[in-house]
Parts: sequence; structure tokens; C-alpha cells
Amino acid sequence: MSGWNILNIAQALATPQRAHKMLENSPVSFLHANSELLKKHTNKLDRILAILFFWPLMISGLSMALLALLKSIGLFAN
Amino acid sequence: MSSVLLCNRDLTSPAIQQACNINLQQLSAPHCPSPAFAKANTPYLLNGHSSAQGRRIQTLLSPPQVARPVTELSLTFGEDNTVAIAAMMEQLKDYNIALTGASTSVYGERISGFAKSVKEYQVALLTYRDAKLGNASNHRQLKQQAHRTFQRMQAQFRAELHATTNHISARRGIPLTNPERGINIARSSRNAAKLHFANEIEAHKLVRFSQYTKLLGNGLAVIDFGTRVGNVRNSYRTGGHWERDLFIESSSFTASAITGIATAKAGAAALGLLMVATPVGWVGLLIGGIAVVAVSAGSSIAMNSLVQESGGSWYDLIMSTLK
Repeated sequence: MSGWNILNIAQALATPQRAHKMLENSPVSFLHANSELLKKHTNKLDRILAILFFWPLMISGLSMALLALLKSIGLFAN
Repeated sequence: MSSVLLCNRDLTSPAIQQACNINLQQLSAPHCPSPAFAKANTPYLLNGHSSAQGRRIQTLLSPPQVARPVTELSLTFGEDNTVAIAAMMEQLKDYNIALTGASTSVYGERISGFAKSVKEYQVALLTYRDAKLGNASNHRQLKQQAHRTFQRMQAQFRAELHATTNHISARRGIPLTNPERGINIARSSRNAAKLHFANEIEAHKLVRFSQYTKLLGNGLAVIDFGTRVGNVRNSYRTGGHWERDLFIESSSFTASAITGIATAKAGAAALGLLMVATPVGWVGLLIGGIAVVAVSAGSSIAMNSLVQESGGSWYDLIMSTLK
């Protein structure tokens, strides 16, 4: 199991199912996990763990990318 | 162009004459313009008593923790290759950082595979060298094995090998492009090496490279692929602030990896939504995919260099707050 699979599962469990369905029905569905199957075989604790893992990772990662971009265009002049 | 002579044991005038056809009068040491014999692990400038650039290169290579690995490297990889490999590894290191960041992607796996196959070839060469020096009976078999690992590396990673070696201009090819070259170097046991530097930048690269090198007992040098660990270990060995370096290396790795993963993930989701909302089709998907990979690799490289350069001052800030 690679790191990508862990992330896919966490994403499927942590995002609202309706939003995730859109990704699963798109032509690039192979990039995303099957949330219906996962919901059936996981309990509440699994979902809380997924949320605790997924959202902090995404928020910190994306804000770091944003900060790096802003720094590179010279927003934080020192 | 400046030339530097290095040897791994003390050599007298006739020994130097025999090893590389050089007169002792041609050499000069930092504090001794006309040495009586060549000391081990000391860079001697060749025919450059008055060259300012040569002096600066000599000073760069002089510290014992630099001179020794550089000597061993030159004797292991061959004198005309060492400078070239140092330049190549610099490039590989940049790849490596991009990869650890985007390590979840397919390309990440491909590059770590490349580093692994170079490592396997290196190990096969060194095993062969050991067998040859110890007169082991199976050295013919080990030579075959070195050839096989070389061919595997060539076949699987033609594109990457080309990208990393095409700017290197060693006359007889480097061990990564010519298997005979690697085997010949592994077989010979020499004591002195002559290095040619076109400029100081090359010397700087070599000094950095030498710090990522492991010395294995009997004068063998191998490239240490875990460069981040290498940084911390060097600083520990030379009595520097290794806790500070550990903080910088680990936090820059984490930040760069998380940034790469998050941007790749967000990109994949955006790509999915884009496919649903607009009629971009498969060509659009391909272009979008390349864009996502580029953004992910780019932002993780940017993040890595950002934390590398500011991590030290963050550490100092945290420590002074705690005190």
C-alpha cells in the first residue's frame, strides 16, 4: 500500500460524501477511492481519524505552498 | 585551469615521479613553497606558485575533513571523473528533493528507483574491487555481476542517465556511462591522484560532494545517498550545532513533503471537477496532469529551500524563547 492510497481513503472518509461522489463519477475516477464501499466497512472512529489526518495535512500543505508563492513574488519584504 | 595533487600516503620524490611523472619541485603546499616529500591527504598545487585562483582552491580543499574524502574519492572514481561526478550529484540532489516532496507520484518512484540502481551498480563495483585486492577466486564472476547491474541501470533509466551525464565531459567516459571504465578504476590500486579544476565553482561542488561521502575502512569511498542524514552527521562529527542542523533538515523535509502531497491531492481533485464542469477532454486532462505535477514539484522545491534558509533562525528563536 502506498502513501497515495492512504490519502485517497482518508479523503473519501473526510470529505462530504455528496462532494466526493462528483469526483468518483468524473472520468478520472481512478484517482479517487470508492466512498460508498468505504462508508460501509468503517465506523465513526475511523471517520474521525480520517478527518483528523486529512484536513490538517491539506490545510497546512496548501497554506505552506501559498506562503512560498507569496514570498517568491516578494510580498514579505524584509 | 588549476591542478591539485593528492595522495593517500606519504610519497617521496622518486615515488611521485613514478606514480604520475611529476617532479617534487613542481609542487607547493600552503605554508611550505618547496616540500621535501608529499604528505598524505594534503592538497599540493601543481605549477601554480603564483596563481591566486589555485591558492584559493587549495585552501578550500585543505581542511582534513575535506582533504581525506576528496583523496579517497579521486582514487576510487578516477581523477578525471571525480570533479564530473560531483557536478552530477549536485543535480541528482535537486531531483531528490523534488521527489521526496512529490514522493506519492509515479515519477517519485521512478527517480528513487534510479538512485537505487546507481547504488546497486556502485556496490557491485566495490565488491569486485574488494575481491580483486584480496585476490579472491570469484572475481571473474563479480566482474560479470558489475556488468549486469550496469546494463540493467542503462536499460531501465536511459533518459535519466542522459539527463544527468550529458554535461559531463570526461574524455574516457565516466563510470556511469562506460562499464569498462568503472571496472578498470575498481581494479587499480593507486596512491596519488591529480585533479584539474577549471574554476572555483567546481572546487566548491567537490567540497560539498565530499561531505556526502562515506569512507569504508580500506580506502573505499561511496556516495551517501541519504544526504540529509549526511548533513547532520557531518555537523555532529565536526562539533557543530548538530541539533540545529537536525531541526533544519527534518523540518524542511517534512514541510516540503507535506506541501508536495497537498498540492498534488488538491490538483487531482481540481482535475476531476474540471472534467465534469467543462468539456476539456483527454488532451486537457493530460495538460492539466502535467501542470499539477509541475506545481507540486515546484512548490515542494520552493518550500524546501525556504525552510533550509530560514530554519536556522527559527530554531534560534525557539531556543531563546524557551530559555
